[in-house]
Amino acid sequence: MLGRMADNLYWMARYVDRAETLARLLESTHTVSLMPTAGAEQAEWRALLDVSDRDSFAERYDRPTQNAVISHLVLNPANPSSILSCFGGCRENARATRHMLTTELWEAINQTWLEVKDLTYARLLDIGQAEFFEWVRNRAEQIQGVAAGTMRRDDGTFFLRLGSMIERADGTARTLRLRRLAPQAEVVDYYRWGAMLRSFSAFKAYREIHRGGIEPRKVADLLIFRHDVPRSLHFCMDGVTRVLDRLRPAAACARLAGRLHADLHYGSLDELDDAALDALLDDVILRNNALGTQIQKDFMMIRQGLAG
Amino acid sequence: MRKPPFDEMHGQRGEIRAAYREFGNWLHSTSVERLSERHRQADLLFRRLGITFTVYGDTDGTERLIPFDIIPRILDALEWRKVGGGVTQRVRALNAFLHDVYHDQEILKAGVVPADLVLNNAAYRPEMKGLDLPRRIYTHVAGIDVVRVDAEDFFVLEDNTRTPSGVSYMLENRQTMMRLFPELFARNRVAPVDHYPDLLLRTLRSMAPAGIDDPTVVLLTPGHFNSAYFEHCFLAQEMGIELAEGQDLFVDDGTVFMRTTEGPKRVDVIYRRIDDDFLDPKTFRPDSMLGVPGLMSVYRAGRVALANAVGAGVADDKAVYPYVPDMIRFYLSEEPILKNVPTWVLRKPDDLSYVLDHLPELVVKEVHGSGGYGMLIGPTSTGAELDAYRARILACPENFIAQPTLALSTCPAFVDAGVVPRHVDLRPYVLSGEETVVVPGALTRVALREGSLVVNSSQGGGTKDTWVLEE
Repeated sequence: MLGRMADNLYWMARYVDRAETLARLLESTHTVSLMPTAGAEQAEWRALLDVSDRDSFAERYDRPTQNAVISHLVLNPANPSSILSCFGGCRENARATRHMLTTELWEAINQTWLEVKDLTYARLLDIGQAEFFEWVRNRAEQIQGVAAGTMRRDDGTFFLRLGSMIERADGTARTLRLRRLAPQAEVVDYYRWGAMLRSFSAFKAYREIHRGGIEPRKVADLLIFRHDVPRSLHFCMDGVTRVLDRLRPAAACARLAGRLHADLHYGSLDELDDAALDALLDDVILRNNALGTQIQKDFMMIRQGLAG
Repeated sequence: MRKPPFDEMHGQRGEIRAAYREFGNWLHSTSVERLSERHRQADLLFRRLGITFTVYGDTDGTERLIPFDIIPRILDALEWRKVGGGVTQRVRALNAFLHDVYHDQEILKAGVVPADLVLNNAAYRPEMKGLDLPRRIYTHVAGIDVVRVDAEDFFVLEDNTRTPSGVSYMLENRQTMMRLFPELFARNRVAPVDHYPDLLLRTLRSMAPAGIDDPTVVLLTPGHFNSAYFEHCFLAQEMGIELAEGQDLFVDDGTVFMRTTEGPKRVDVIYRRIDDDFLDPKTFRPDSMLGVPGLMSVYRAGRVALANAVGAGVADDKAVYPYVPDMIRFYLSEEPILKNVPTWVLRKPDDLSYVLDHLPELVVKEVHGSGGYGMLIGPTSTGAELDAYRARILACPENFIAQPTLALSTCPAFVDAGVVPRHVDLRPYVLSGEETVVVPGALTRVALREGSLVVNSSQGGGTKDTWVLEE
């Protein structure tokens, strides 16, 4: 397939996953902010700015109030990672490759965009924040489900999978890093980490694996090292290496992915104190990012010569 | 006063014409509410599928839906034999003409077509002189615009021999109708059109350079800002070929390659939906970002095929149009099956003075214009508009042709006011490869505004499904 098409598919999948991660983050923050003990709910919302584009926030909003942050993360067209921008970007990439998509997949993406493109903040409040975040998650899940259920397993779906896994790893690592930054009183902590587990659909998994209470380190262990939790870093790298093994095992990106995967596969929380844990997350974010760049270089560079 | 235009469903005395008989019964027994409901569903379907086009210069978003009219346009087998046979004949002559003007120029020597009209034409490409193309085909995909004024006569309004668009609507309109009105297809023997992409692919493959058994075909698009991008995607998908932009292709070692995830891959046939001017910045417009540098050198060496051929546009220029019936006689020794619309060529002094005297009755067109832009429709123009256009004509008469305002036929259309007659035209698509063929169907464009004669989608026109009934 054309390298440019691979690039479009890769980004299409990244945007979908990005919208989903953001919706999950907003959902969990929303839950925490409803807690009577929180008191510092503005801080919860403010913290979300760390995972988004600060420049476009400053251009449009005065203060990081809850309304401003939500509006920025959901609707600000100048924010390249707002949910609106994600669905728009997903749809633009899908439009460029729609001849490679099944009709069902294109319709799922197009329909999502048509429903969200004229959304206003007032309308968002009408719908209800929790309702809307759930809608975003549902649409993202639908798009991914339709892709899995209808697309032929050719190179195209490999690039969708790569985009999805790279983006998801980034989202998980960043969210975890964000949540580790501001420890609160113990009781609040319990709810914060609980909400976060739920936002990763991992609450049940945690309960099955760990008896006792919710401990931040165990949550980190679950979302970093467990191979069987679908939003964990280890799981994501399993996915990436498996695809690259099929696509081109000798590619430079396959080596980067293999090394990162090995660290997650053979690493253990027992070796890490809290500072080392944070450092590991920072390291994963950087290496995952470099891996994404290398995948694009290896497969999608539009200006490659005959030597390839 | 002119008599009312010919209506294709209701004849002169209001009777239902044969082709519409079954449909008429159905329509009669169907409530407006139900039509309304189906109309709404069709709209939704098109929007969800994203069947859109882009209007240039439109600032409120790049995409718009072409209005789809749920009332089909129906032709019986006899009518189709005439139209299908006529456009096929015409395209055979146009291909012969194109080969001739880039080789021995017999038709110019014989004085049948004025030489300067061809050789000084902007669409004439000297780069093509002496180049032998596979099967001597230049316009592999041609769209011939046909209009009708009464029960017998069809006229060719315009030939499109460069990159005619709209065929995706012919196919999607049929899909939509079959989904919304299955009962109608059970009651009418409608000739299928879905094999068009298959025929197109076969046509393209038959153009491959000698010695290539299993040619790689790509569709070259200007990209997703182009108004016909949906169609490019649609056809690429239907044919199972890559949809390439200029940046995806490159020339190396006298060969065209595309950049794939597995490295460069050789390309043998390019179905290009980019104008000549933008194809190769090394040969044509140097500022083109859409083309492939060096493509023309490979083409000239016969190592890649382009469809349609470079320089095919000289056959559909409005200045050349008046001579097409003579081309048919010259090359095929046949009488034209379809007539031309009588045309005044304003480079001729007699024609010019006639046209200036009768401007309010006529349609005047720029010879290089297309898409309904820059044309004058005398009867609906104000005095000021006529004066302004008169000045333009006088400044450069050879840039214009004029035609009588045809009483284009009407066909029922479903609009807010109910089922009402609206003017229509017809564009069948003719494919030329091993043989020249046309699928039994066409794009019918309909001027949805009351009284309007302009069917172009950029000017408020819509489309409808076109049925050819089998015998």
